[in-house]
Amino acid sequence: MLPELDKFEVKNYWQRAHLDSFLELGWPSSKNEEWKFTSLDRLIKKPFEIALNPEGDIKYKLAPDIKDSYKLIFRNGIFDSHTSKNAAHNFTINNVLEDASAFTTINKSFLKNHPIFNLTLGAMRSAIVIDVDNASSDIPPIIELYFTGGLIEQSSHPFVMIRLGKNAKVNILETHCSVNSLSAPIVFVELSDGSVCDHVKCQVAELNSDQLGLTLISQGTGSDYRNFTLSSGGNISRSELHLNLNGEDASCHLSAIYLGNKDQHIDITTRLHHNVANCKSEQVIRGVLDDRARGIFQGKIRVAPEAQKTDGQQMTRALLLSRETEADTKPELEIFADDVICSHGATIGEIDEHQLFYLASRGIPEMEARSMLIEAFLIDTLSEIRVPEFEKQVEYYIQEWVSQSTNLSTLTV
Amino acid sequence: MSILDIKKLTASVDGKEILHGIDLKINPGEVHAIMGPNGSGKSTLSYVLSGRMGYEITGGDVLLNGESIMELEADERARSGLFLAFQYPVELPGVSGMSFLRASVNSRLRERGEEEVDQLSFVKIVRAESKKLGISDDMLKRAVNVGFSGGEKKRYEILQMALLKPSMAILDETDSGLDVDALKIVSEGVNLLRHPDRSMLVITHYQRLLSHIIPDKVHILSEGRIIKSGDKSLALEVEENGYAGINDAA
Ligand SMILES: Nc1ncnc2c1ncn2[C@@H]1O[C@H](COP(=O)(O)OP(=O)(O)OP(=O)(O)O)[C@@H](O)[C@H]1O
Ligand SMILES: [Mg+2]
Repeated sequence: MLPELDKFEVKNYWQRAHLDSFLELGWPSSKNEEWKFTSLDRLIKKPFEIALNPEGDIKYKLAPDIKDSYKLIFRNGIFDSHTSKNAAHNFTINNVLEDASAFTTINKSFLKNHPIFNLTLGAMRSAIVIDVDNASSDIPPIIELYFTGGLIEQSSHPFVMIRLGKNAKVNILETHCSVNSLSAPIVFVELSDGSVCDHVKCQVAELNSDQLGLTLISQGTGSDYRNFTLSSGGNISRSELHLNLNGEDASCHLSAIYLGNKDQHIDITTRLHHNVANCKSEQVIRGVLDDRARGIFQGKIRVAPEAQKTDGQQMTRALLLSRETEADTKPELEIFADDVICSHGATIGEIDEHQLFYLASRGIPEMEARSMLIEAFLIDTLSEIRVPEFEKQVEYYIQEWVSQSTNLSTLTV
Repeated sequence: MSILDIKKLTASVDGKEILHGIDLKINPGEVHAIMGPNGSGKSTLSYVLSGRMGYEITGGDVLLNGESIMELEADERARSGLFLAFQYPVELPGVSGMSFLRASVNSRLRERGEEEVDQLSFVKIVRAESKKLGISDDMLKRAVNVGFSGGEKKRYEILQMALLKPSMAILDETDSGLDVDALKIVSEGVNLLRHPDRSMLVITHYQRLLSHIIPDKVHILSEGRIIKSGDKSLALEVEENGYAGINDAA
C-alpha cells in the first residue's frame, strides 16, 4: 500500500545535516575538478526556491503511453499519489525515512561531499522506496517515473529508491519533463545478487529548466544492469551516474545519447567503481550538437586493487552540426589492480559531404538527408536498449529533436 | 529536343579548370559512351552534371529536357530526372537499404505530385528488380553499400536506376570491378532500361562493356576536351591502338 506521503515530515535532524553540508560547501565552482567543464553560474543567478506543492502538468509532447506499466508521477518533486496507478503490480512502497535499511544504505553512501546529493536529501519533500521481489516472474514489470513540475522559480528534489530482491527483474523508465528552474532528483537502484535491471532515462525537459539529476547504482553478485540515458532537454543539464560493482561476476552496460542545440550545455558524467574482481563494464556515448551547444562526457573508471580480471570499455563519438559547438570528452582511468583490460576512445566529426551528395544525387532533399544521417549515427547506440517499449520512447524523442533541429537550420540558411 | 544538351561547358575543381569547353548533345533513347585516359575529366563531368558541391561551372550551359539545370541543387537535378551511377558508390552505415531506396523513390513521386508508395508494395517492387540483377535479399537488408563487394555495389547502383527511372542516366565506370558473369547481368539490366524516352551516358575504359551495351555514339575525352566522336567502331579503335593513336588522328 502507498504510505501517507502527504504527512511526510521534512524537517528532521538528518535532512538538516545534509542541508548544512550543502550550505557549508556551497555550489561547486569551476575550480572543483569534478565540475571543471560545467559551470552552474547561470543556475545560481536565477532566483528560485524549493517547491512545496505538487503542481504542474506533464509536458504535452511526451512519447505515447506505455501499457501495463506502473507509473509514479512527481510534480514539483512531490509524489502525486492521485495520478499514479499501481495496476496489477505487487510492489511494496514505503517512505525512505521510515525504512531503517534504506536509510542506512543512503547514509553509507560515498557521496557525502556531493553538492546535489546533499541538497536533494536535505530538501526532498518525497522520498520513497519501492521493493521488487519477483524472482519467479518471467516478464520484468515496468516502473515509470515521471518528474514534472509546472513552476519556474522553484526547484524540485524527489528521492526514489528501487530495491531489487534476489534474482528479481524490473525495467525502469524515467522521464524528466519539468519546467522548474532546477530539477535535481535522485534515483537509487540497488540490485541484489542475480537481479536484472534495464533502466532508461529520458531527460527531455523544457529549455528554460536546469537538470541535475543523480543516478546511483549498486550491484550485487552476478547482477546485470543496463542503463541508457537520453539527454536532450534543459538549459544546463548534467546526468550523473555513480555505479558500484560490489559483487563478483556482475556486469553493467551504460550508453547515452546527448542532443544539444541553441545554447544548451549537456553533461554526461559517469563514475564507475569496480570494487571486486571479475566484473565487466561497457560504455557507449554518442552526441549530436548544433548551434552553440556544448556537450561533455566525463567517464571515470576506478578499479580497486582487489578488482582483478576487470574488463572496462568506453567509447564516445560526437557529431557536430555547426562550427560554434564544442564537445569535450574526459576519460579517466584509475587502475589499482594489475590484471585488467581497460580502454577508451573518442572521436569527433561532421556530417560527411560524400554521404550527403550521394543522398542528394538520389533526389533526397538536404534536410531529409541530414536527418537520415543523424539518425544513422545514433542507431547503433539506440539499439543498445533491450526493452522494445523503451526503445520506442527514445526513438520518438530523437526523431522529434532531429526534425526540429533540421527544420531550424533551413530557416537560418 | 535532346534530353541532355551540354554547351561549351567549362568547370573547375578547387580553382583548377578541369573541363575546358565540352559540347555534347544526347537525343531521346540514345546511348552515348565516353572513353578517355585516367584523369581526363570523365568523373568530373559526371559530378559537374549532377551538381556536386565544389565542382564549379565557370562557363557554358547544361540543358536537361530543354531546361537549364545550372541553378538547380543536386537533389533538384535528380528529381528532374538525372541519375548518376557512381564510380565509387558511397557507404551509408546505419542507413537501412530499404528506407534509403524508398526515400529516393518517394522524393521523385512527391515532386510529380503523385502518391507516395507504401512499404509493402515497395518491397515487392524492389524484390522483383533485385532478382533481375542477382541482388540477394540479404544485401537488401544491410545498410546502404556497407560490406558490399565492389561488384555488388555496382549492381546496387543499377537497381537504383531501375527504381528511379531517370530520363538521363550517367553510368561512371559501372563495369569496373565486375566479373565476366556480373558484367553480363548488369549489362542486361541496363539494356532492359533502354527506352525511347531515356538516354544514357556510359563512361568506360573498356570496349568489352560496349559490346554488351551497344552505344549510338562514342566520344573520346582527353585533358578536359572531347577530341573525337564517332560510332561504336571508335571504341574498337581505342582498344587496338590506345589513346595515342586517337590523338594522332585528331
Ligand atoms: N579536388 C580536386 N582538386 C584538384 N584536382 C582535382 C580534384 N579532383 C579531381 N582533380 C583532377 O581532375 C582531373 C580529372 O579527374 P577525374 O576524376 O575526372 O578523371 P577521370 O577521367 O574520371 O579518371 P579515371 O579514369 O581515373 O576515373 C585529374 O587530373 C584529377 O587529378
Ligand atoms: Mg573517373
